[in-house]
Amino acid sequence: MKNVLYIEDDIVDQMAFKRMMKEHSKECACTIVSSISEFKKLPDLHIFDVIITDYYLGDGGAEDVMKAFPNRKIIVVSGSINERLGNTDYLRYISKPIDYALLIQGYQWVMQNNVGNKNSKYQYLDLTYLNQLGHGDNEFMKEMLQIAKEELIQNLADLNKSWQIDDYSGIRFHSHRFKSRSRILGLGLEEKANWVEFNANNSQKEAIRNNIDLFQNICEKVLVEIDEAIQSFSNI
Amino acid sequence: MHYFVNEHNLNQMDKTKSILLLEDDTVDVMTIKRAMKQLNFENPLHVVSNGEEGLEFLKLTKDLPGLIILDINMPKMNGLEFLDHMKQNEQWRIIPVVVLTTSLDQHDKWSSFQLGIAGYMVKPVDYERFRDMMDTLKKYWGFSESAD
Repeated sequence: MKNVLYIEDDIVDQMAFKRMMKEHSKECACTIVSSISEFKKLPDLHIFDVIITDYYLGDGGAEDVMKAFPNRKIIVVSGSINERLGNTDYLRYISKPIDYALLIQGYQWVMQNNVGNKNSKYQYLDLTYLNQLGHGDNEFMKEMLQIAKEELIQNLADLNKSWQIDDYSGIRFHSHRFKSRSRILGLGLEEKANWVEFNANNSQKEAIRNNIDLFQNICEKVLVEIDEAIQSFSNI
Repeated sequence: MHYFVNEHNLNQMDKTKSILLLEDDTVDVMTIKRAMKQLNFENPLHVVSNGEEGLEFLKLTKDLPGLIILDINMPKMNGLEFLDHMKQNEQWRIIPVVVLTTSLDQHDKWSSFQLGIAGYMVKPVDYERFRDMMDTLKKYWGFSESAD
């Protein structure tokens, strides 16, 4: 494990986790948040190679994490066994108190089985949606990725332009379109784009700027990954 | 007035009517076309990218579409403005309109129903569910009698 996010509202469990990681995995960078609202404020979730979350949190739970960041590698921990969660394709369930050996097993399982991210080759891009759409048609995939790339570039340029001239209806319009891009490319930025769409006004100008910067930073890397994906479909 | 539909006229009704899609997002247009192909829609599909082009299409076409699929968020003339205009025309107002959008805005939904839409569908995150949604639309439209 290199970069882990742990979501846990119980201070004792947080301390136990820190101690365990310090003892067994010194090189691993750990970020700990105590609630779903703190989790949602994190600027870039893509930096984490795995998210470990308590099932029940004060202001939500593991399902909120999955909803906010679908199809990603998530390990859910809980004091009680939950059959419904246990049956989900996208995560590994382990029980509390966390045993390091079991945690590592869970981590290896989600990494090796590509659970939570069916396109683990890419850090940002998730081709699950497009693969379902393309159904093995490589030419279609290449065409879709090329169009998505061009529209993503235009979308960000439009968002920036609208922000610069204080055109808030433009910001709403273009952030709405960004949601669609994020959905199709599996970027997990829909909630942030949604926030921009519904909070676009002068008093939120700086917060909107921060979000646009985030979209831009992530999309710069996504565009590189899209080129790699187009290339890989050309080589098949 | 017909109160039931048999298999024969269900199929005939389906194939002869075109579908008008108002959608400015190229990726979404390709997604919808792909889903329609996978679901064996046989109706001709016309695509325009905003409300102005939609009204222009309705003015110029000889055969009015049997169904309109409408996005809300479009440049120049958005989906709600388009609806407002088309529902003022005696001939066009009877065409069923289904909104297909990513908008979760309650105001958009309320305004669309106020303007007489036949259905409001939110594009799901998952393509399989999107295809199921299109399949439901196909079946519903197939069973529904049109006004003309």
